[in-house]
Amino acid sequence: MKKAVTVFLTGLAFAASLFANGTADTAKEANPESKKITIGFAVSTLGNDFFVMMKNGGEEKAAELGVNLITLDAQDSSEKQANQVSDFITRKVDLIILNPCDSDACGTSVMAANAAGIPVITVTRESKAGKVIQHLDIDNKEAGELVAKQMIKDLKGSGKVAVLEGIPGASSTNDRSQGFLDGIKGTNIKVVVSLSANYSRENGVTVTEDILQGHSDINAVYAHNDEMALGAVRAIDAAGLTGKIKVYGIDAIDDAVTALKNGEMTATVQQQPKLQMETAVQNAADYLRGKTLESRVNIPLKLLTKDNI
Amino acid sequence: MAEVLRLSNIGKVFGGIEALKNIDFDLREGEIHALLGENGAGKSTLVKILTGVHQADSGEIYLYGKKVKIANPIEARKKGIGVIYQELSLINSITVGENIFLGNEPVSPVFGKYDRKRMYERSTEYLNQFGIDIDPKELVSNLRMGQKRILEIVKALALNAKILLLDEPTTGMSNKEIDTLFDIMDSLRQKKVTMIYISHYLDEVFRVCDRATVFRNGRNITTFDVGKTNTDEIVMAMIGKDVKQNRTVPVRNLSGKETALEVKDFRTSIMKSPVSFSVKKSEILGITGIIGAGKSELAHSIFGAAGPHKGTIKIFGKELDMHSPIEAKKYGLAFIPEDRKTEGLFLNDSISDNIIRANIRMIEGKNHLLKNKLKTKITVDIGNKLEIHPLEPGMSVRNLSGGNQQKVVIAKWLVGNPSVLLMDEPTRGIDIGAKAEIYAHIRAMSIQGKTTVIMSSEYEELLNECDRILVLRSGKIVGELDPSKTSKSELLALSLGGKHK
Amino acid sequence: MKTIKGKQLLQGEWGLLLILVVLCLVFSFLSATFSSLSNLLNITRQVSIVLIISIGMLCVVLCGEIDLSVGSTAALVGVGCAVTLKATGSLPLALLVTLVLSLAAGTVNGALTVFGKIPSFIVTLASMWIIRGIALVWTSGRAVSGLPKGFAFLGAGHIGIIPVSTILCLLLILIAFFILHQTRHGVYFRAIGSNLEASKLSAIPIKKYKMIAFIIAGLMSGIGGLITTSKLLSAQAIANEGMEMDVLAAVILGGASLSGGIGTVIGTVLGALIIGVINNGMNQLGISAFYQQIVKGSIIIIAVLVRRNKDK
Repeated sequence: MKKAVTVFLTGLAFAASLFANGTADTAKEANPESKKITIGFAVSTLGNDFFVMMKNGGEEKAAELGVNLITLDAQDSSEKQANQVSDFITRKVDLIILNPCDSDACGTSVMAANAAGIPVITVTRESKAGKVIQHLDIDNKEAGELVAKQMIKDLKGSGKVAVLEGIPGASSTNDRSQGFLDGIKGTNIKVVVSLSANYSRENGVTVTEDILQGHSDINAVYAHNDEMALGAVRAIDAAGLTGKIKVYGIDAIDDAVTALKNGEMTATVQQQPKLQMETAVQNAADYLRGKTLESRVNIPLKLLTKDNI
Repeated sequence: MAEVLRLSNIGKVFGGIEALKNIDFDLREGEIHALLGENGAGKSTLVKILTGVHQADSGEIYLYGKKVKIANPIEARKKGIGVIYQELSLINSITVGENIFLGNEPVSPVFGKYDRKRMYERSTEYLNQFGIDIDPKELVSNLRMGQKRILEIVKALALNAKILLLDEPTTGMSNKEIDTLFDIMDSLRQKKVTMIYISHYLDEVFRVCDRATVFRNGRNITTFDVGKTNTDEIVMAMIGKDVKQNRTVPVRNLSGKETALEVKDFRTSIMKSPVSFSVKKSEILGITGIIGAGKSELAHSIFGAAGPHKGTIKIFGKELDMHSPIEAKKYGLAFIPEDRKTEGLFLNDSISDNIIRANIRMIEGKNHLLKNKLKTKITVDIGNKLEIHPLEPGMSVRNLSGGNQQKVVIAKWLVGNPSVLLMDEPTRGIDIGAKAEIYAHIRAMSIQGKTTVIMSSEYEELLNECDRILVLRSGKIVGELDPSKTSKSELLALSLGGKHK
Repeated sequence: MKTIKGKQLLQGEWGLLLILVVLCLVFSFLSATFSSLSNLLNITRQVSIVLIISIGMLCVVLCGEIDLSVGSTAALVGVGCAVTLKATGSLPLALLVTLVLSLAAGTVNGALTVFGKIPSFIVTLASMWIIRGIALVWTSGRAVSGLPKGFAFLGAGHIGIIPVSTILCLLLILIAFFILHQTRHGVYFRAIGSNLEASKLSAIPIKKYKMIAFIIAGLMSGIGGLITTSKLLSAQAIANEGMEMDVLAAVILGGASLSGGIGTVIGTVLGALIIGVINNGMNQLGISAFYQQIVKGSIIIIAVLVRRNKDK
């Protein structure tokens, strides 16, 4: 009895972890005979609304085109992602759309797909190694620059800023940081503290609470993504400083748009995750039907403020 | 019959104590020779010398007429001496065949790869040779205890043992398995394998042995021809002159008293035959028997700390469900277990914490707060009564002597004022002074009206203190005796079984 | 002879207190703002969630068991609360859901361990995954936001200058201290963890108390999840990720033994505070995330060594 329950629990846990990994679409496997295309989407994490919107956009487009889109969630782990790409290769999908957890770590996976003859399209983050037929960029540098431009306008060129960084080492983190710093060069806007909050809303609260201890006189907070920005909003609110400190984020997730509307956030950058993924899926289908693709597509960015939502 | 082994004037001293003195012993080819004696008589020392674990201090060993030295267990094995200890030496997670050939695996000549095919073939041969119905590919963990013992024997035989020492081999075996064992021993005898058989079960000795040697206090007392002797002779040899003790405690007449504890047709998964007895209020009942007779299981089961049972238990006429110690306690039962360190005490805690542990509600205030002052007072009161030394309530119980630790366990239960106390070997490992004190307290409790059941193998104590003694053998009550009219030899004879005059 | 004093409150805890004081002094010296009253209160607010859940874990660990599912339970409860609040706007109803989910988690963990006789490590490892999986499915991975602003009072509000969550945490600590050190319940937890056989033979109700321990753990995890949700004004299935490690660290650092029978409330409080101070201090100093992990791990090893030596 005890053994049976243990086995049952383990099986249930295993099944649940599959579930937690994201939807494993068991509908139709890649079948060379049928005309239905199967695309494997290896996403970095579905714990972030930005990527959830990407996935939704991708699925809508795939349904429209009659294409099978299988999504696997790596929960921000490069190891998991490597295994998942490996799974796609074994299942002989027609194409892989890859949103790397880390631009360096995904190199071997891309090269493995190359060796197996499966084409790869990267979205949001690049892969530093291997060959991809197309990269859809959201130009994180440009996003940082857009925020900088808006901040200069809002603070009239001078002020103190605290920065909440994303996952240390991720290319998006580096780019969003660099773009912003380039944007404020030559102005009187100073970054007084820059700490990582790991792209997480929870960490965003804690780190902002700590920052406010030492730097309650900051004029703005720039968070590399909306999740952290929303955390910062709560900490600022708890300290009674809403309105006194402007909060900027990137990603334009639903909660951020709400925050813009009610004045808790000042601006965010819409990288149009939905559009990005729709384009990726469309291009993938086109490629598999014989079209050649441009090697790089820049999805236009849009700075969102209360005025232009 | 040829002589395979002769020991001449063997002596062995351990730290000033003569474990073996002037031992002469001979073994004839193909015989099954019993080695008997009380605990500490020297039997296991002899076994250890024969198997090379110890070296004799004096004397010689002759194997097939040639003088030899058995320097270590590996040499003993090489010389064809095999031993089956009580503690199994099998590895549960691998198969029967793998165990038989453990350390002796047949390998293929090419790369030294384990030749499993050949190993299983030879295992099957061995098993068939003795008519043993065990699949060599079966995992040992799936075998019953009896089968495991038989497997131990097969393992020794696979190592070409010509002299086999069996130490209490039937422990934990069912009757059917014992039959199988004896059949195997018989066919071994035909094959001229010689066996030394150590056991407390005289029925077995009378059934299967040719000769029996009795050791007492490190000396070889005498060797009997099993067919020509009986239990009483053997028992006399084991304990020597049976000096009738003068009982210091007066004999009591408890006939008018009510029945405190009644056990009827009691059976558990281990104790297969029904046990029935009753105890009167303020009686001190002794239950004795050799180790493995079932005393501990009985005590645990009555207290509800063992598996499910059949039959009834009544305390002052009220029947118990007895599925847990919690219930037992409610009905006024207390249990002082055999192993105080693992079962009776919380070694990391203080004396007072231990004493109050089974009755914490006594020191709980209205608001659930524990009253530490009251705890200390209770500890001091009962500690004085039982003469616990040193009586420092806050001191760790680990630092007390064995006797005082035992008193703490007793105190733990006395605090709750039980009506029936079950005590399993209450004076084991305790110095003489503490033993006397504990028995004095048991008598005092009896005068207060408390009933005590003492499970013990210390015959002298039971004869002196108890109102009645029951003898348990193989889970059955085989005798009910009046301590003032019986003797140690009679108790021992009943405990061991075998043939009577 | 080693004597166990009547006040068994501060044995090895002196070592922990020493470490805490030293850390505070070092950080005060290095950072201008560390020792400000506002920051110290900030620290108490930050550790309150971990500390509350640690109390639940302490009960379980005292019995010789473990609960790895605390973080997942916190997340699920937070989700349940937020969804209910958003859908009905009723705070009492949301709190009811919080209570029900917390107790359910604790009961399932307890029942499988005590009656299913499965090692708690396995049970709670599985429930850790399953419970979080349920939260992920329920929310499809998206945050549940749009909660009424007033709800943030619990996790982010103040009474005077003292954070509300600190007050709640203090309250729960006092109750825990009372129960675990001054009543027979604490004695039973410890007895069961230190010698199961002797406890059985001393007529201590083992099954009952182990169940209670797991239910308390579930309840505390739920409260932790409630505060987290209030603090973020949103619930996410990925909330409190890794919480079980932080909680175990606090409890073990505080002197509890994983084999059971040993552990104190004060020790757990000190353990949580030490970790909270380290995190906060490094943020005050702006130490990069890369170094923070190394420093934190090292300080914890040193703390355990110091504490152990103080015991001798």
